[in-house]
Amino acid sequence: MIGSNAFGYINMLNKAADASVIRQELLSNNLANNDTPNYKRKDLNFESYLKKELKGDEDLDKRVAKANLSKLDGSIYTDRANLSYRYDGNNVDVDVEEGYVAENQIRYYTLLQTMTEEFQRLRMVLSR
Amino acid sequence: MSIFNGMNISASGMSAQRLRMDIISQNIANVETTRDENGNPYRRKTVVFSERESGSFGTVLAQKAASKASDTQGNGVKVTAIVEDHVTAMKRVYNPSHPDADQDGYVTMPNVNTVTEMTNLISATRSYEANVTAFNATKNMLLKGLEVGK
Repeated sequence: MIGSNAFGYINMLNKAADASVIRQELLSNNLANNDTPNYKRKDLNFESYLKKELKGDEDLDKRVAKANLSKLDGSIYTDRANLSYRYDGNNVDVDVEEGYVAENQIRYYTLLQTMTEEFQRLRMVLSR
Repeated sequence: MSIFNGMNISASGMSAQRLRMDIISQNIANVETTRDENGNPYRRKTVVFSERESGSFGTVLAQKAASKASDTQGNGVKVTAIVEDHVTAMKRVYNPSHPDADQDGYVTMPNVNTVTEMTNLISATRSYEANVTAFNATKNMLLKGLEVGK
């Protein structure tokens, strides 16, 4: 198992789940600051880093094996778009944020489920 | 930063909105108050919110060093002040028999507008509910994390 990269996918999913938890905190923070004047919403950019690490024409297994996990931390950015519709300089839209919260929650559950299935496959092979 | 950060953030939003509701209730309760503790007519109060920054210098430094980005993660909301409204004009009502009437018979009434207060109350309730939803989402995510591999 050691050095065979059997946990390659699980490590990758783990990074994605970490990003999802951080994003959840950022979205909670946006909702908490819904009435703070001049607050600008914050979000996490993870997908573009993942895309960069997984690019290439090879087999997905090889690309996952080659990916550098330390570059998959994502980066927090302040979203200055959508400035126009509120008087107080705040650009948080509660309904949009709630939509993101639901989306992020489902994504996180999916990642955990996929991780569990990956563990089950490993366990199945070991118990043969 | 702990794993319960998300819940703490939502909790800060909930308590800030609850304080706002308390202040609005106080404004409505004092809609006819012509004498506050200093003997003046009551003035409506509002709360001032600001973003709560992440704790000490050390934690901010650690966060900045850990991420390549210049933006740091937020840490919820805080109430910086409860201020009196000196912009909205006080109401003047003609009522010569009132003990607080001036020599012309006018009484200065609080600058509380019940409709404005009720609208703000609805806004505060909605914001509170949004925080509750985010809180529950975070809680369920954390609990789901315990079930990995089962």
